[in-house]
Amino acid sequence: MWSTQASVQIEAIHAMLASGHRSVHMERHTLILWGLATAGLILVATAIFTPERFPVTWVRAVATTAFISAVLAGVAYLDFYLIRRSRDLRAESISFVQLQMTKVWWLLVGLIVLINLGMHFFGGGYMFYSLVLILMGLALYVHGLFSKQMLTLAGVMMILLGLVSISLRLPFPLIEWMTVFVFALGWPLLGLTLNMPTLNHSLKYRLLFSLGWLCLVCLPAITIHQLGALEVKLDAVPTPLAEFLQQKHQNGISEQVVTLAAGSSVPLNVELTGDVLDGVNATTLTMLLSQRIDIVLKDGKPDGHFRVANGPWKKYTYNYRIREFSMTSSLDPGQGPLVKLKLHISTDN
Amino acid sequence: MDAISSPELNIVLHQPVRTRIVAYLAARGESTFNELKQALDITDGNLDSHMKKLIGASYIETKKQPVKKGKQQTLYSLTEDGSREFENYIETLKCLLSPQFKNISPVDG
Repeated sequence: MWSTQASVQIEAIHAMLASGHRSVHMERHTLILWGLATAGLILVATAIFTPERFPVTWVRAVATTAFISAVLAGVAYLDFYLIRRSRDLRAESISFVQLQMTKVWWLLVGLIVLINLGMHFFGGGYMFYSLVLILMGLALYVHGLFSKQMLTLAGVMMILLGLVSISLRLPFPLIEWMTVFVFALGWPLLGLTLNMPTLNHSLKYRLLFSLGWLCLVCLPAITIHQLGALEVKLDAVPTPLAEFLQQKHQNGISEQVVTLAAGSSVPLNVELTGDVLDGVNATTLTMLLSQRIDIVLKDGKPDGHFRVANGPWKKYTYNYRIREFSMTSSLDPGQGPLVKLKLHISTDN
Repeated sequence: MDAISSPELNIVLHQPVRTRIVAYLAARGESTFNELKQALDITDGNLDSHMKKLIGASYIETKKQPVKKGKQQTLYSLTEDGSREFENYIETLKCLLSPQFKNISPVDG
């Protein structure tokens, strides 16, 4: 019958059109190369570009950006060179769609570098690794649309990890380790298994693989984070503030815990400067503590660790934030000009 | 009852392998011989004979692209004629799916 022949041909055409459109082939080395380089960058850049080594913000920002850009540009060049070489060896071409996808990939990587630079000046660094997960997840997702469905799924998992880490306010070191393991373990594993026939033909296997993949990237991160939290094991008996103030000198005491009891008053020095302010406007306010705080001193100086009401030890860098910052001004005949500044200090991420 | 005119199917395109070759190139743009072979899962000789027919009908054109060390890669893509004929072929197939051709076999037509 004509209609049978026609429907067979149309089905064949549909199948080949779909095959032609899915012409982007993610090479195994791409995921391994980018994954290991990104994980290495996170670990190395964090260790090198510290505020102690680069105290001036703009110098640190420029140095970090230059370093990250140079490494990522090198990775991009090497990746493209290896893609071309492997295609030549297999007598295959790089499709038009793949070239456009590569540009999208580079744009997203460039966007991450710019966000990193901007966060040095405008804040929001807490969200950086979540954004890295979301944007690189997006890169995988877009590639997957024209390539293997497993890539789409991996992209969705990365985007979800990024969104969950922000919405659940996960501790910064945990998000950082999670990002490291996504790139150091998750991406190479994805690269090695991407062409497995079972993954490409069975949704059940893809979902099982996704579950295993999530465990692989999350469990080591959670373990390392927990081990880091246990690291602060102090034998020192907490010293009340009054007793601490009586000590003439702290020589010979390498580690000490000082307790600020609930109700203690802590002076807050405020310095305001600005283009419409005359010089430095300084004043001292008093903060009253609602809960007991233990502070760790090493060699007589706070080392950044603290805990609230016998809770878990926290680090100042990651657990001390200013939220709900607002500044309003008013001017009325009875009261004159008035500026109201409100901010909320949080130790709970 | 009115007589039904027989559908005019393009004889070059109305062949399963050639239809798939043209559909693949229509979606992908350009492709090497190896990529076509993998996509269609057929032998070199089989693909070669069908490619010769499509090139002979001016539906497919070739382009040489240098790769490295003096080697060249041949890329195949649809010509304008090839694209137009492929669209016409699909329209004809759609017509054949209409109810009036439901119970008519090619020999009747």
